[in-house]
Amino acid sequence: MTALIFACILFVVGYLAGLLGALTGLGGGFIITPVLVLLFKVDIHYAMGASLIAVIVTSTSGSAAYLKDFVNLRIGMFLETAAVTGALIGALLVAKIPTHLIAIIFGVVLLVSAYLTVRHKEDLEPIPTSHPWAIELQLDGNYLSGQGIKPYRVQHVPLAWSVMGCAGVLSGLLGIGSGVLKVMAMDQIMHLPYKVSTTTSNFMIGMTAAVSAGIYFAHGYINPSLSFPIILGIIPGVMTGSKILVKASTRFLRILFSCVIAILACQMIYKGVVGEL
Amino acid sequence: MEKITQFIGNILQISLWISVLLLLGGGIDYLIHHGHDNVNYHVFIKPSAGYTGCIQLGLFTLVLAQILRVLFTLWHFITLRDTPFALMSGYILILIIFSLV
Repeated sequence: MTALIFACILFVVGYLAGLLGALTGLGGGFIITPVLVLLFKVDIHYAMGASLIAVIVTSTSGSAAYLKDFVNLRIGMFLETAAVTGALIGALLVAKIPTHLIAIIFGVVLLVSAYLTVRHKEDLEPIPTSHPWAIELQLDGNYLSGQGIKPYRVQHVPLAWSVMGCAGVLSGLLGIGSGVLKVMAMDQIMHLPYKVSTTTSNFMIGMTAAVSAGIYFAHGYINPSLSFPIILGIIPGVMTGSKILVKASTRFLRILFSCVIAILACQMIYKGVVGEL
Repeated sequence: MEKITQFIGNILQISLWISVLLLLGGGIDYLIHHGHDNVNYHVFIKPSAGYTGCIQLGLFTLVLAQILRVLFTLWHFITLRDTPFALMSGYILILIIFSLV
């Protein structure tokens, strides 16, 4: 295949990844690595490098649009200290861990994320008190809901911080944003409103990925000619996705996308186990 | 709080567009010179810099945007005289810069 044709294909892949990532809230990074590895036989390290850059782009373009309304800057920076530490460890581990094992871990993380996306979420009862650390660090905040400005109280701070560290390790190790895990740590563990969780997670993802990006650059995992068409595709993809999102019901799409991810995950695990990568 | 997040949002937006322009320029240049070459990304080879310099610059701009994001957050907490959060922001900043060098 010539470079020109492949660049056009990668542009379309990037566009679709951005579109689906924005519509389902999973982020574009998820689909890029398995698609590149399984469909186009790209080396997994190059694929992870391209995916990591895609993650930074998604976080950067998303933050610009939603930042001012919902992001809790204090919670974001506090949790980010764990995430960047984890990301550094994860990115340093990539060169040490055999490729087939990375593929298996990637597959398992994809499967879990697909499950977390479709499972039925119960609305958590608001708790009137805050965790002592939340009071000490002034993490509680207000957000704009359908019924005006509402306060929220932050729970289980140390646990959420630890989960964020794990999310960081996975982000560095696999070249993903770990958005699903980050959102879960905030809305399920800390009891933050969903909108605050997703926007704060998106705000954090770029910084986490930047730590891994430095190490990926040094190892040569980020291939410029492979990355640029994907990035140029993902930006209009995210824009289209965000426009449609306002009108469309995403429940069906989430299920469909999760099924696709689950199939890709199984293939990644299979290829890792038989050592075909 | 709103002012600083709005400001960081604007910085990110500008960086994103600078990066897009660099990627687009570098990408077109690359395709003009190498568009008909056969590509193979199946085997991992440590690439040499050179013809893709402009694209590299675009990719670095994206990482630079993250550094600016932390830098302005740090500055925000310093002006608030909020030591714990200034230290946290400083730690994140150091780790990102450390990973790049």
